[in-house]
Amino acid sequence: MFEIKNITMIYDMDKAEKVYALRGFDLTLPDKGLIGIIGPSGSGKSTLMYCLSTLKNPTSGSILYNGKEITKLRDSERETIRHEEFGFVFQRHFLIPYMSALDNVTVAAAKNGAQTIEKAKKLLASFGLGSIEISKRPAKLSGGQRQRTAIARAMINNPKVLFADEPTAALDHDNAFLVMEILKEYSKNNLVLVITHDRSILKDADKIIEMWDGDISAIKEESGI
Amino acid sequence: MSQKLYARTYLKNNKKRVATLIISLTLCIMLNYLTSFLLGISMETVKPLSYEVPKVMQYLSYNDMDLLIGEDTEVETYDEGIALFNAEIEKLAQKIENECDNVKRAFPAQVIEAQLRALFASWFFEGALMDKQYIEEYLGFYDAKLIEGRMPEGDGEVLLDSMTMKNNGYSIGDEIKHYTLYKIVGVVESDYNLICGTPHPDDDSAKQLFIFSEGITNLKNELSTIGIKLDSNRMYWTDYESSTKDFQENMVDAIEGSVNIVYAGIVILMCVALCVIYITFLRDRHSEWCLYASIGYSRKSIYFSILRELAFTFILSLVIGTVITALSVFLIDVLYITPSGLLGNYLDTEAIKDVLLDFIVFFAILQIPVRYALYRIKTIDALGDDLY
Repeated sequence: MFEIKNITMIYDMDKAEKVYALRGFDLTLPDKGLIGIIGPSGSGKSTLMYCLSTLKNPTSGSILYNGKEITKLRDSERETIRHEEFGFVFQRHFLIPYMSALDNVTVAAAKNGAQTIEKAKKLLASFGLGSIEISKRPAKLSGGQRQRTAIARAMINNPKVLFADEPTAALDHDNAFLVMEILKEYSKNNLVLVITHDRSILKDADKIIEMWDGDISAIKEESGI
Repeated sequence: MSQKLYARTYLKNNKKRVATLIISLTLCIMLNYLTSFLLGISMETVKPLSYEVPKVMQYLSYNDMDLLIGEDTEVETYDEGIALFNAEIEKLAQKIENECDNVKRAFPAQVIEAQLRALFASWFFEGALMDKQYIEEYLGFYDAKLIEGRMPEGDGEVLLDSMTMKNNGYSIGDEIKHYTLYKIVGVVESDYNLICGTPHPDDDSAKQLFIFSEGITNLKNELSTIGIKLDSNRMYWTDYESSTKDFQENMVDAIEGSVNIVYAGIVILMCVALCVIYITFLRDRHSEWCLYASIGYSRKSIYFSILRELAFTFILSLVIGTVITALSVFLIDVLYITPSGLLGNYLDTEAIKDVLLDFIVFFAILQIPVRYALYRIKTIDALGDDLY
């Protein structure tokens, strides 16, 4: 699905001391599966996710998504891809405070109407949020419920790629386990990229990419390193 | 992308904020319209005296009896002077009536004044004191009908129109002071403000001329055709041209100046208040829009959702503001204008145009913070603590 070639990302380009977030590496990602990207803070894992998801453009290198060079796309094309083909789960849920859980999910839908609402309700129900919870605002939901709402929002358009940035960081063990189960299930037919510090949540990952100082230090397949 | 960001979701879930904006805009409509309306009451009330009455009646008053009678005229007493003066006025009335085609009637009569008081102004107008036999005829020119009380019979009795009665808080039996006391004995219904009655024996003032005509707008020009020259140093007269000019200078210019200053103050104040409130609301939504941008909404779709929210708020404010303003005008009319015998311009098209223009200006000005907020939208990096 993704073919990354010699990708480089430099922050503070105009300063004397440049910061290399990505140091030019190649990587290929499959069409489906749960891929973990692990590494310490500043290792470049989030930058890699932003570049893959078109939120940022790399300084150099190429990213092919289904054979299309996404670094050369116009803003409107990038927005369309983000909206229709990618889903995002952020570390801190980022739910809109004045909307109900249901509205937080449907707001991201590529199409509107009764079908979308039904789909959102089903998604939320499958994540354990009943009719009472879905009408609550985020402030009235628990951390786990918020994150599951955020995952439902990410999945409402059946994205081909789901990017999850530290999806369990704010959750207790049980909720973290539940969230990873949902992501694992979704990865059976789609690509799920999970960024984390926590190796324990990636026990079911199909591939783990370890990053260090803007480069890939190791790639662990299910079959071993 | 077929999905668009609905304004409804924000409006439905942020009723207090939307209500704050609606209340601000509604207040703006009310303040702007009611300012024009209230300040306009003075103008509307006295306007008929300057625009309508002079079409029917022109008033001619001589300031200086000696000049009229002639420098070589010798009189022993004041009464003799008055008698001579009145005789001259009688002759003049006769001449005008006979020789001016447009003049229907010229009444030589003593003068009584009544006052109209409005919110920010008062205006005096003249009426005739004459023999009771002429009063019916005099009222006929004003198309006035007695609705209460009786016609003047004895000396020093007067009639007033119902609006002037209300305006001054008079009742039948009350007395009006003009050199001496005149008793109100009847009320007439008329489209014009008027006062008339019988002379009082204690009032020895000279007679003046009340000319009823058709189509005379400039009395000076009209009388010059029959050899009567009006000199503003010696005489005072009212006709359509002089009255409307006087009204424009002493009323419209003065009141409109005040209206414009008050109006501009309100608009600037409301505009600043609205901008401050709205910028606060926009600031609170920065992260929300960054989230939308992150998940693939374009700035354009975000902008249109903001425009829809604003348009809804403005339209609803316009509807509510119109209803509340109309109710306020109705209440002011019932509680103040009608009981006080005043007039108001209830459907002031100029004020309505101004309010609509203000709305367009406000809408346009609010685009500045909106465009700035859009400019600040980033994606994931800008998501802040104000999202859950």
